[in-house]
Parts: sequence; structure tokens; C-alpha cells
Amino acid sequence: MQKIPELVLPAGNFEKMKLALLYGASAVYLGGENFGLRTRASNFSLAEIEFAVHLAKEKAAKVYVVINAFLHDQELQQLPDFIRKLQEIAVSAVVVSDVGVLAAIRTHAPKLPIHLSTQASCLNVMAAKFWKELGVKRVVLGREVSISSAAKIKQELDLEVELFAHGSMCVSYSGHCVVSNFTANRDSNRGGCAHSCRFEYAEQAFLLSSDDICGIECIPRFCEQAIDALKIEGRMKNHLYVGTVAKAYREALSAWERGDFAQRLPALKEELKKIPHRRYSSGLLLREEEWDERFYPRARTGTESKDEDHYKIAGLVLEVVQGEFLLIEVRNAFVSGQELSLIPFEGPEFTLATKNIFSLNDERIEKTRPNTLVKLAYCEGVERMNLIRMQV
Amino acid sequence: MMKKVLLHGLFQIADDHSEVILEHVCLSRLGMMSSKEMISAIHECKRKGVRAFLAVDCLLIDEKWDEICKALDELELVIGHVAAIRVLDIGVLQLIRERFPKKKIHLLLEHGPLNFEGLIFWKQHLGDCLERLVLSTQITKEQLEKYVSDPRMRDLQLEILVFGPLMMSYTSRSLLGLAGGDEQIVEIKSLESFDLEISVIQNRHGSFIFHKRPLSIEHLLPDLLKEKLYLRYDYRLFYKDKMNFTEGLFMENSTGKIFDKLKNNLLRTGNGENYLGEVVQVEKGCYIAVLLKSFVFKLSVGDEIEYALPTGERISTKVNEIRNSRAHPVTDASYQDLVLLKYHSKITARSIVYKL
Repeated sequence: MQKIPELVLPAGNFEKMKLALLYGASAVYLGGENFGLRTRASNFSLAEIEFAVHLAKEKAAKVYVVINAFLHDQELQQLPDFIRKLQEIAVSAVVVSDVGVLAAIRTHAPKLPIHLSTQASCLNVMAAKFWKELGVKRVVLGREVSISSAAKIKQELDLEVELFAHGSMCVSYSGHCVVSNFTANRDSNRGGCAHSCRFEYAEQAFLLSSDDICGIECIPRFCEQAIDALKIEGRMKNHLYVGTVAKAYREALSAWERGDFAQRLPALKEELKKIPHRRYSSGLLLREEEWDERFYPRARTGTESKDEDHYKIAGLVLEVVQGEFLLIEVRNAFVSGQELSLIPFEGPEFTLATKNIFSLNDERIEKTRPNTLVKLAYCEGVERMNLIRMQV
Repeated sequence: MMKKVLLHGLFQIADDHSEVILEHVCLSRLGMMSSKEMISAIHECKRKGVRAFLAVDCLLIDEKWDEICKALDELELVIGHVAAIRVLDIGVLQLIRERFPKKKIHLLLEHGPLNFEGLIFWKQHLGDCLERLVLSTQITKEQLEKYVSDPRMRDLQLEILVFGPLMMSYTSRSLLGLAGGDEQIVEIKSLESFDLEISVIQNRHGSFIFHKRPLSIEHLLPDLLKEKLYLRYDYRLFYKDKMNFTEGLFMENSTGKIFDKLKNNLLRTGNGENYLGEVVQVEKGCYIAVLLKSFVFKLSVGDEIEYALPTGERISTKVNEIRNSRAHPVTDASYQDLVLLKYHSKITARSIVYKL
């Protein structure tokens, strides 16, 4: 059996959610104002979640709400109202890791579909069976699980499985790291991770800093093994990351469906190099071929191997006034005449003319400033919310 | 009398310990015993009248499953003599329940749940086979006092670590070098964060990160807790400075306090609470550009609005004129529209706009 997996993108805020959906996500995961693991993301109010569900439905997409923190007693008391509301507004599922949370959902919002978060470190068939018996509809498997093992879990249990396909990785088993708690007084399992694993350590350099996972080469495997969903990490990542990754993986899935994946792959890999990332690896997705990839050579070379950021977001298209101008929200300064690339929702990027930049007052500008609005000449094919990228 | 649990990879039973945890090299993360040594140790415990527990505390991917089953096969004849099996992985829990249905379980709740409902869940779900919950090292004295006095915890043993290495992280990765080698231990110091020193142990199961100082909280335990809890002592110390301890989070777990600081609450939108949008640009003396982000409210001429500045200050005003991005006057605007409003000297970009 083959299938095209659901493509699940992070939505750190409402704008990023829209970008994810426009650039190809078939589902988004987002956090409410509490109970998630990304405290610093803007996150969503209940009203925003409700509208997100409405917006996603228009695009036949799904909205998953993460409640994946390990809650303390007082926080758990506040949970019932929130989950009852989520049930009422019919979010597609909630993503949980704490059995106290799971028990609360079964009591107070029994119709809410439950996905098991990777924080629960579900790694094997027997564990997945346990969670299925508790009513879990899908397990987001630990990053230690290979594609073939995930397929085995799915086949043996008839349970939906989701794998991380792209983004940063914890060095530890998810949910099993409390370094921040004891060394920085920040609860890593409630969204306060201080990222001590990214620090440099004397003599051993970056021994704790994991590579980023990039599973785009594994797309045929994901599809052939009928993995239900591919998760992209990064609710704290920026707009350019969300748009670029969503588009690349959507195009990869479409290419596999059409039969020209091998031809498209090199270009898609190049695209993924244009967003900030650490060294890419396929992690343990292909475990049988790459058993020794469990350790990280850079720990001995002493370089973190973070690729240089050669590209930045220049801006976002706020408005397209047909035949007149494009209204751009500037995110990083650019100058008149500088080459900017517009990333359409589908198809190849194209160059935007920047010779003439105007303010909202129609005054000519030579150099833009971040967080300002400018007008560029109208260009066919540009749509509201398109990302604009520049080389630095 | 205190209920003491001794944790030791090698077989040494101190006289004042009524229980001992035995760790097999294949079954336990930090285990060092071979099957032969384990069998001998279990018999020795039986002779001395000490309750022996078998630790099967690895997290397991399916590729490693056969290895665990093989080790359990080798111990099959003596498992009847161990009082309980200690498990961390939920899959291993299932395996033990299927394979040894009468065996008591000690469930390791290493990092969670940290709420009472979670403990109740396990008690109810596992029923009689659950003898003990081994609580997280993050549990506080206050929580423990509440838990031990709750009637719902009656008939269930609760265990905490009171002395020993404080494990903070567990990974399957070989952080110190190629997998499969002998056990290695290193102490490392962060170059980026003052006072961050950790010890890393690597063995066949992966790598383990420990706090630079061992946990020691026995002196903080009131008699009530000493009576009601099972106290674990782990003497596998590898510390240079054996006099320097940590009390961890036992007296106060304030690891959630950071959350209030991580976010500028003044800029939280609370969409739905009269939220209209955000100021995206201010052109001195000319206009305030507002991007309407509310999917609930429209903005119309005559409306009263309020700007919430990043500083916390709030400024109210009446909307007498709205212009669109082409500078044309409009009577109203809605979601995703960019509007230009009358300039006000105090208002800055990133201010939030509410409808009054």
C-alpha cells in the first residue's frame, strides 16, 4: 500500500499558519496560550484557534492543537475549560504526552481525537499498542524510530503513525531531558528549554548539539511505507522557514506522485539550504543503512557546522493592487536595484523589479528599513502573503 | 523504620537495606551484571531475605527488542525470585505484563507525570500488578506531602531518590565516540554558561547526562515522609568532590516562573477581545498604518479605538478618517486590509489596536 502522507507544518502564530497552508501544508499544529512547549511563540487565543479551524477547513486542511507539556497539578486544574472549548470548535485533534492530560481529555472532552506527542517517546509496537488501547488515534513516534519500524507499527496495529521529517532535533529521547530544569531553573518539558545542548563545552566542543533532520530524500520511502503524516519541526522558526519547507516538501510529494521525484530532488535540496539550519542528516529515518550515524563527527572536529545563512526574508506581500503596485511589509532592509526573489505558492521563484521603491506617500526610497511598508511595481503572478527572499 | 532501597550495579548488599535493585548489562541502562552474575545475585538476595528488583529500564526501539527478550530468557528460571520488575518504557511494561503476568511492577516516572491525576491514572490502569510508582526527581516536598496523605494513594508504594547521581538526560546516541565501545565517563564544562558543568556517561545503551553534584535530600525529609515513602540510595558515585551536593528542586520547583518573562504580555493579542490589528508603520506627521488582523471586527469611521503600546501605555482616540493603501478615503475596512489612520506622536510600530 502506498499513500501520500499528510504534511504537518508548525504554526507559531496566525500569520505563519496562513503561510504554511498557502505554501502546501495539509495540516498545521499550533499551541494555545498555555499547556504547550513553545512558550515564546506567539501562540493562539481560543478565538484564533476557532478561526484557524475555519480557515483550514476552507483549504481541506487540519488543525492540531498541542497540549504536550508535562503539567503540574495547578495547571491541570485549568485544563478542562480549554479542552471542552477545543471539542466544541472541533479541532482535528489534540497532541498530548502527559497521562494526566490524557485522562482529563477522556473525562471532559471525550470526543476530541488524541494524537500522542513525540514527548511521550513511543518507540515500539508494544508501546504503540498500549496507547491505541487508551484511545489514541495517532502516535507521533520518537525521532529514534526508523521509517521501516514506523511502517511495522502501522501495519501490526492499524494505527496512524507520524514521523518527524524536517527540522531541529533534541539530542535526548524527547521528554527525557531536564537539564534546563536543574541547571537553569527552566522547565524544559513545559516550554522553558534553555537549549544547553547547543552550547559549546570545553574540550568536547558541541558534543550535545544534534544535526538537523532533513528527510526530503526519504519521500519515496515515506510514501511506499504508507506513513500517515510527516511532521516539520519549528513553531519558533521564521516565516521564510515555514514557507520554504512547506513548499519544498509539498513539491517533493507531488513529484513522487507524478513520477519525477528523482529529477526534482536536487533543486528541492538546494531550496532547503536557503533557510537557516545546522548540518542536515537523515537522522535515524534510514536506520538500517546508517547505524553509526548515532554519533556526531563534529563533536571531535569542534565546529558546530552550522551552514552560513546566505538568504534572508526581504518582506511579505501585504496587498496586490492590480495594475498599480505591490504593498510590501519589509522584514530586512534592501536597496533600490537589489535582486529580490518572489516565492510563489506554486512554481518557480521569479525576480522582482526593485529599481523603483516608493513609500506609502509615494516618495521615492533608495534604502528600505525593516518593519516599514513600501510599494514596488506591480508584477503579474504575485499574490498576497507571497514571501520575498534576498541573498546576503 | 525507614524503607531503604539500594541501587547498585554491582552486587553488594548493605545490612541496613531491605531492598536491592539489580541491573543486568542488557536490560538496564547502567547495568553491569552478566546473566550469570545476576542469577547468583538473585539467589544471594533470597538467602539474605532481601527483596530483589530487576531493572528493565531502557527505552527500546523494535530493532533492540530481541536483545531484551533474549536476556529475559536467560533469567527466566530466577525471575520468580525477584519481588518486582522496574520498567520505564511503556512497551516493556506491556511485555512484562504479558510474559510475567503475576509479577509486580515498579513504574519509573522519570520525568513525568508531575501531577496527581497522572499518578491516579497509572494506579487505576495497572491495578493490582502495580506495586510502586518511582517518582520523578522533580517532585517537591510539598507535592509529596499531598500525595502520601491522599486516600487514593493508599495501598500504593511511592519511591523517591534521596541520595545519588541526578540523571538529567538520556539519549540513545553515543555522544562520546563510536558506539559499542567500553563505558566512558567525562566531565564537561560549558564555555557559554557560567556554572554549567555536567558528567556524561556513554555505554552500549547510549549516553546519560548527570548533574555535576549528586542529589542529597534525606535531611530535608520530615518523619511523616520518611515513614510513608520508599527511599532510594544510589551509591554509584563518580564525583571528584564527594562533599558537594545538590538539593535539586525538592524544596521549591520554580521552573515555571520563567514563563511570565518569556513573553511580552502587553503585546498578546487576545484576538476576540475587541482586538482589531497591529500598527505596522508610523510615518511621522503623516499617518499610522494599521494592518487589520481581526476576523471578528470591522473598522469604521466613527469608531472609538485604543492603541496598546509596547510600553504598556494605552491611548484612546476616535476614528475620523480611514484611508486605504492608495490613500483613498474609505468608510470601513476589514480583515487583512491595510488602513492609514490619523498620526499620533506617541504611537509606535507594533502597538496593538483594540476597538472600544
